[in-house]
Amino acid sequence: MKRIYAREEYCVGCRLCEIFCVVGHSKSKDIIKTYKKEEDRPAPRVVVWEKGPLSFAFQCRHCDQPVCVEACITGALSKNEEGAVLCNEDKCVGCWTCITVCPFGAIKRGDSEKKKIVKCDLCSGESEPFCVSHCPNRAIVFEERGVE
Amino acid sequence: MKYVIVGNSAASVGAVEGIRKVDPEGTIMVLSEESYPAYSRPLISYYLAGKVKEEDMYYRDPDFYEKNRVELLMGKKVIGIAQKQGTVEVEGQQPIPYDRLLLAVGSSPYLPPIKGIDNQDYYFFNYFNDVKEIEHKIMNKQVTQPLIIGAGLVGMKAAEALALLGLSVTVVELGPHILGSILSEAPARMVQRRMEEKGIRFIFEKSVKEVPWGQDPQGVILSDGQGVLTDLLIVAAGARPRLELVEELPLGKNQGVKVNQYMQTDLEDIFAAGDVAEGWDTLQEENRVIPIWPGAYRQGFLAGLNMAGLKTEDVGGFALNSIGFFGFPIITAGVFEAKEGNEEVLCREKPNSFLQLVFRNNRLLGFIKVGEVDRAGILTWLIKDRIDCSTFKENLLKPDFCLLDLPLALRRDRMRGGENVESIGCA
Repeated sequence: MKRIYAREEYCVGCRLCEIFCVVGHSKSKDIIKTYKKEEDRPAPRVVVWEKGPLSFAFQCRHCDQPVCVEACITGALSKNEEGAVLCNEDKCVGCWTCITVCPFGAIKRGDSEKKKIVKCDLCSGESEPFCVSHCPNRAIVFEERGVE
Repeated sequence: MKYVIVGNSAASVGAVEGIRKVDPEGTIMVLSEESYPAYSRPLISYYLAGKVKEEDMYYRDPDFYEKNRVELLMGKKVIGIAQKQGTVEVEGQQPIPYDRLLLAVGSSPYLPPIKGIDNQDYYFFNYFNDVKEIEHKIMNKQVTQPLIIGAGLVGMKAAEALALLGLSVTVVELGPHILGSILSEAPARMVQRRMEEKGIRFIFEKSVKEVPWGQDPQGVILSDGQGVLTDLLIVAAGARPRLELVEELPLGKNQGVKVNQYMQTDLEDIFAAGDVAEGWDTLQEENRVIPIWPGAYRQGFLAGLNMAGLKTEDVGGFALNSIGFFGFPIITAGVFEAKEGNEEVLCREKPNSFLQLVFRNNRLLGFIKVGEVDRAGILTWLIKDRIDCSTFKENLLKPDFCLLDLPLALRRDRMRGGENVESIGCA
């Protein structure tokens, strides 16, 4: 399946991927409206990790055999037919069992108000995830690599 | 092929999904003592506290049984297994024949010896009906001061829910601190303080000796003779694998039912999974019951694959837990305390967070994370894959520890990730 891959040699740590992840999951999908008008602005599902000149964007790997889905105590997590690992936020109670088992550390806790997890959904329905299409350096790509 | 599954929780659902992955044809019957579709047992405290509605308690979509062509018999008590005839005996009904049988009966709550308890109302906190009865009593304004026996995972979640409902909760614990199965003393005290701030009172190193009959007001007498008033007694003193169905059967059992790497008991046609089964613990290197939800699902799924003929070996697993109180999170995994003397323990304690890492031969054996739990799964992966941490051990103590803190080769491996990720083997 197509996955998002970070290319750390091109990432300058600008964090536009985080900004556009928020936009992509907002009501309007418009950057100005998202940041200036909308309440309940969503949290970014991608995180840029940075240490000195090294940086890269990181999010859910959408594993072939997702251990988070296996471990989820409520049945909120599932893998859809396209292979995306998705969270049904109505069912997530923020027990953090998925955080206990995700071998990539790719699932975030929501803020204390909304005790739900925050994770990449591959921008379901879009041809390319927002973080990928808005990265100015092509430091994040969406492609089929198969098993390396 | 006729599959019969006794029990209807995580392991049972896992088995249905495992069987259907391999065999779309065979008939599956699930026998459930409770009268609900499979629900998330850990959510009963959330339900009681009003955080989760009844319709969100269910572990799978409402069409789960229909979609998987499962005949679900609810409210049926299985009373025996006639292994020679290959049938399951159900109360008030014809014996049910099976080709492959899965025991996914879980555990039953333990009732410690307490004088007079049989004459009194008391509750467990393990089943949906338990909390519904408790809820009913609270709604009728019959409860002001609940008393909980046991400060384990179940007792503490009960205490949190009842405190959230505004009741003044007392917990009596035989051990020296709370959550003894997952926490060492220092982090346990940290969590205890949080709970005391919310009005929960703890009495340690005491047990409930007697529930006097016919007293008004009601109360209990502790092992030191002290009396404690209560109008709701909850027993959360642990659970034992339910072995009553297999007592007569010629299959190996210790604490739980012994299973091999295919989740098969000593009897070829009978499998076991979940809290009743003794699976392989990769850290302790022995078969034992690890009663955790994710492990039960995984064992059930594996049992399902094997029952349907797809030989799939279980790699084993280890204990892990994620729990929290009043928004304060706790994640633990593996062996979290030095036991044999050859371990190395690294620790970082702050006013609102605690981290303990236990290594042996530079391999992470287990951890306790309290307050700050983000990216705990990276630690779980280090345990599971027995990664040599000698060059970056200290990095793991950093509060913002992430993939950047791993050596290049390991980091690159994680960043690619996603393909061929194996089951984490939690339990």
